Amino acid sequence: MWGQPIWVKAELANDKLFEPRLELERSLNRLTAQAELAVQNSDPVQYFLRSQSSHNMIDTDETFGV
Amino acid sequence: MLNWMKLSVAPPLAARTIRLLGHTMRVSTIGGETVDELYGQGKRIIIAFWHGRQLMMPLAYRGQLASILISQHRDGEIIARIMQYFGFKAIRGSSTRGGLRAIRQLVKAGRDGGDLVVTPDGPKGPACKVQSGVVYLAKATGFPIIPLTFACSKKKSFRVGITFKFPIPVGRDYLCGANPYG
Repeated sequence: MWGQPIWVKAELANDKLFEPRLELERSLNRLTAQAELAVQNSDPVQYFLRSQSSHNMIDTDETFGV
Repeated sequence: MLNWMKLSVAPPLAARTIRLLGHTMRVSTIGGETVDELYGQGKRIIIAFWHGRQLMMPLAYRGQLASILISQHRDGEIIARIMQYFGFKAIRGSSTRGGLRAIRQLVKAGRDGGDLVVTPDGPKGPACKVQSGVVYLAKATGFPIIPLTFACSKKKSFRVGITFKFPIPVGRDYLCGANPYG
């Protein structure tokens, strides 16, 4: 399961780098939890798509340093 | 003799085992179109997945050329050799040893035209906590970080440094980043 891209602009100050770091951590944990739930169903893709629409769990593209 | 076994015999066996496991499972992919779209735009990417879920990841790769960050620990040498069977170039280093040099090599590999692959929690953990190297890498290269994970319906977890997920063959469903038959 692939997540959405996380972009880090070259201009982002070093003291702000924790923001994309935390976003990546959240995204990986969220994706893993979703994948673990999905594979317990006979059709994991359909289950995932249904859960996305009912819980609004769609990841969004994140850009840091704009 | 033991070292010879580990470095010469184990890697090809491990690579075949991973491929065999992949062929015994029903694979579903979610979100792969995001990566295909980036490739379609001529972009390269940084793929990031948790260390404990790395076993089946060679089968998930959708690109042409990638360099993967692997620790300088002696077990890292085995992993590096396994990765070579899947076409990955290993760059050795981690946050605890050789990290700066490895980041420079990864940046160069990215500029030379390849994707980059990292486990952002590293071999020593703490598990599922992102270290800063991957973010520096994204900042230096301008490549987007793409999170990737997999799950399988039947698995065995064991500890090698940190907890590792090992799929059991003929799992009912297996969900990862790509279709190895594709």
